[in-house]
Amino acid sequence: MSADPNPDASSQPTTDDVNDEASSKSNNNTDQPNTQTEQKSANDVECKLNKNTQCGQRTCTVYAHNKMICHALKHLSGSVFGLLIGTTYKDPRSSNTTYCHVMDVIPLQHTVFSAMVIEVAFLQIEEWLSALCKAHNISGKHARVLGVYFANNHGEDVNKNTSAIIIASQLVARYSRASVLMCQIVSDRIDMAYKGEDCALDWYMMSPKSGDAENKKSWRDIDDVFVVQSGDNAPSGKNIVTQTQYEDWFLDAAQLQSLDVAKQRFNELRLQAFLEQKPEQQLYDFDDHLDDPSKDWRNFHLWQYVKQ
Amino acid sequence: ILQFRSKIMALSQLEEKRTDAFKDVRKNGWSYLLFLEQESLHKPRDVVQIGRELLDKNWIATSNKWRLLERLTICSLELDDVTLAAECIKQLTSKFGRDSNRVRVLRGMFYEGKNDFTKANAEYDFILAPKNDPNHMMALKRKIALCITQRQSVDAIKLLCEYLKLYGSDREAWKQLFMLYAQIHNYELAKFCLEELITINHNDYVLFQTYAETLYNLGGDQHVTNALKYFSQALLLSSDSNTRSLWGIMMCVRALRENKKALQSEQKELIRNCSQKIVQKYADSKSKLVDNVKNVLMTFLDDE
Repeated sequence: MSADPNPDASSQPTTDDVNDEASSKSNNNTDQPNTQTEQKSANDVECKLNKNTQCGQRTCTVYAHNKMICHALKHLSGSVFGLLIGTTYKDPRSSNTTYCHVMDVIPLQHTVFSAMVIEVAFLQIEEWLSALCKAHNISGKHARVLGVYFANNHGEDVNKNTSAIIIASQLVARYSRASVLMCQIVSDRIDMAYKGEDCALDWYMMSPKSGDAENKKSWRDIDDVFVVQSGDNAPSGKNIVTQTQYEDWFLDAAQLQSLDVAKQRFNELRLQAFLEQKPEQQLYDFDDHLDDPSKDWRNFHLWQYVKQ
Repeated sequence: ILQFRSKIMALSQLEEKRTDAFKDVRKNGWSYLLFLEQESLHKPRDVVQIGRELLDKNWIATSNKWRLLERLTICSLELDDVTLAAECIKQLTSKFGRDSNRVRVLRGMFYEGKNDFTKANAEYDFILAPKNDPNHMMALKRKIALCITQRQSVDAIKLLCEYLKLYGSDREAWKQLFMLYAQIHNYELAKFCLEELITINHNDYVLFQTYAETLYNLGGDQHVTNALKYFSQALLLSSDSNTRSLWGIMMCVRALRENKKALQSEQKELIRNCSQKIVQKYADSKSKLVDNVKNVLMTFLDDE
């Protein structure tokens, strides 16, 4: 992977996401230019991540999709929310488009919004992700929190959840509009997903130029987040998943494959097979974890219910 | 500490009583259902399964039968079994007559279960008519529940406030109002509800903890200082292994510190004590995250 920017791209070299407040001045997903040294280090660090530009600019794994639904199902009478985690990078060969691969989710709360719990969660999650990055020599800018997901407590309520907006706006301020996603689990569509007819998620992003992230109306519907399957290195079916096995899967976007929606619709979600084993009873969010630290918010133990 | 322990005791007895009940419904079923009611444990499926058997086989004293039918109606509606609810209501109506307000409430709930909100509202309004019983507790509550189901939060709050003027010591009502305010992120008013709840029940560590978290949500030095006090009180009322409150204290000290340069010695000591207790709890529960947490806790003592 050479350090030369794509000659067909704009004359600006590839950059790091450091000062992406400037996204309002740029168009689509290209960002402000940066110094030569930063360009080189960004590319060097980028090289270590296995990329995937075949499945779409934004993807979400079947595992993350099903896990979010578990969280919603476990607490149907209340609203839930959590964080999307995964990898993100810019591809210099395709005009510096920002790619986001949501690999997994961390469930946060099912009770009343509590800034204290969320801050503790961020501390623990970022410590965990930073250790993960260090072990694989990846920059923390490429493997990080990518956004928020939520489910409202009334099935037919499709408004954007304020708790989610609060967290998402902080993420946008910290990272960039191009790399923060918001996801809503539409409880009424879980049934369709169960039957393999549809996926139960709606996605939103900030418009690249204008809008205040704390305003619900600034988040536009997007329809180009594709659900993808994991490849063979996913720890599916394993009773005990080690941190290393998980990391190898988490950092490898290259193994992701698009779903064959034309022929199979959404049967490849295998949601029914997953839910039949009642995995939601073992799904723990941060509220659960703070009451009992033995409940692991990484939820590695859910992998045993995933059939490949 | 008493309340914390009694809650834990109740949960540990639950499994045993439940197994006994299902083994011999005739002998242990009713005492299990009483236990659930006393400890406010929510298990509608068990109530329906055992209650049904007790009634069908007539293994229940007549004096308890009607109360059980009422409970069974409510639990079956929770499980979306409108058919069973209808059967129970039929039996209650034939015993107590169509004009019984208590049965009328159940009929209203039945309409709610069928999503017929107009008919449900009609039943409740009938009860609340001036010549009937305008202060009927259940009917008032159901009207509020209807607003919540139809996502009319503002109306729900209005009705609930009026209800609380009549029944100011209704803990569940204050909790519900707290939830409604918290859902619209109005923490000032949510805080007020918690204060009322703490007045009613000053030994409940969960209330102190939630109050502290609400203050933390509001933010600012004054609120966070008070939050620290309430987290400490919650710890006193529960135990040293209450990780949620321990983390609460850590986060409060951290938040208070951002405006100043170095940690004061009491703050350092507080951080060290809490960190130690948190790590202890993580180690005791054999949490796989103990190393991760140790690293996080170390950052609290970093000097700026």
